[in-house]
Amino acid sequence: MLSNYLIVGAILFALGLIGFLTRRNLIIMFLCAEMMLQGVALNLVAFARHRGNLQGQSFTLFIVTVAACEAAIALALILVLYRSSGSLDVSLWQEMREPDQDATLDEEPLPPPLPEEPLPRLTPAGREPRQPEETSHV
Amino acid sequence: MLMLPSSIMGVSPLLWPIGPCLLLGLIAVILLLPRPSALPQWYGAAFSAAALLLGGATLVRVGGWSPEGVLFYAFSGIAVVSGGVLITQRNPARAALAFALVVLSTCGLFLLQAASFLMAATIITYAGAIIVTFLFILMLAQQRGASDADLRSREPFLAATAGFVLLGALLYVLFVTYRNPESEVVLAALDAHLAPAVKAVEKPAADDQVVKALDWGKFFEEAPQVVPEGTPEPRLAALRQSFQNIEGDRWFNVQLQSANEQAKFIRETVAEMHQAVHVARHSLGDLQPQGQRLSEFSGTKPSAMPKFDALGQGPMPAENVAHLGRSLFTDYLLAVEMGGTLLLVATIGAIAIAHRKNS
Repeated sequence: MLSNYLIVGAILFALGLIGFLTRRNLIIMFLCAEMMLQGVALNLVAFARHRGNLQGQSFTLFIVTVAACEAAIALALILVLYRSSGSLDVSLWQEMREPDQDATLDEEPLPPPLPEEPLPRLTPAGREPRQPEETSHV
Repeated sequence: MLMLPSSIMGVSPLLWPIGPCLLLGLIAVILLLPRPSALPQWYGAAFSAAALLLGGATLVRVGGWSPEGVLFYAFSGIAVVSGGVLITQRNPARAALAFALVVLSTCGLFLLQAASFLMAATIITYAGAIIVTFLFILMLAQQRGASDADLRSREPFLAATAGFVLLGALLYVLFVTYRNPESEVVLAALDAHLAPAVKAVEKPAADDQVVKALDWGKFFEEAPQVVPEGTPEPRLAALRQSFQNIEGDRWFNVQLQSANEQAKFIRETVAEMHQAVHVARHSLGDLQPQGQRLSEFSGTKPSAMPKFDALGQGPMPAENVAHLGRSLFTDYLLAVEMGGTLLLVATIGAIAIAHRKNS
């Protein structure tokens, strides 16, 4: 049924929106935007199936094309940003905000780093069984 | 059913499945979004499982355990769960893999909707190209240990609330259009009204028996009355109008003619009305362009109503790739050219941006 697919598309779109607004890793933000596109594509394909024509599928093909272009450009931009700041955190770029906006500060400290896990060691495999001394009866 | 005051009665039967699902989902997302001092993940996982189960039971309507229904549940469940994992996962590499899972299950849904070429194209571009390049960048850029980028989120409460308010608005509009109890009551009443007439016509019977089988004057007169006047749903209003025309003009003229003519008219008209109710049921809320110049290269003409089958879907051509190609290179030829140009420009732009200058 048409409405089921529209509901799933709406859920994907809203989840992508939340992710784009909250996450601070540039790559995850980009992936969330792509997930919003997936929700829209699902809508278009569902309408195409409902109406029995291929216009929705053609539109979706263009969405895929534009998403590929967007991925290439975003990748290049993320690389440039990473080279100049050394981190993928988008909040490092908040100097570009409007002059009357306050800077957001991180008040909660990050949790202390976990102690490094020791490398796995083989458990001792027990004693070598005592071999009977070689004797020869020539 | 619980009796509610009449002022909210119009809204509440629609809203009751949406509200609890969205509330549970909102709590789950807020609990699961990364922050330095987060509650254990089990709380959020429990809330999200509750939201998913409730949503799957109340929001989605599959109708029986058909293979298609089971596949729909599986694919959409995986898509929504891995979408949630994508936005809450602290490890970006795992988040990228969750996105690949979103794409794969969306492609499963595409296949259920008879879009096989799109399925292949999406898997190749997204799962094949985009995810791999991004994992590559992650490998380059990943720093060790705790980082601001992955362990903090910006305004989790406000952003999640905004997203779920948007989702609630979207779902409400969908439910008002497709699951409106008022429209369903009217359609059921129309079915009940038409059932004896369809039964009388379907039996092979002599013409005068058909004419005497029912009080046809009363039947045609009461048919428009079943749809309440001033209904907000345009499809039902159009149905009422067409039934009024049948009763007012055509039945009035036929009444005075012979039994043969009357029976012929009754058979045709009852079949027509039956079909009209079927089409109205599956096209609630449809907006149709009125233009006459829309082409037929992409399937059914957009201004024509498709022939809905029992599931409410129009007929699709079996050769998906051939017809998609015909649609792209006739209706959308200019757009295809533009898409190609865009790809070229984007490639050049990406190389120009990422170029490391004589280091």
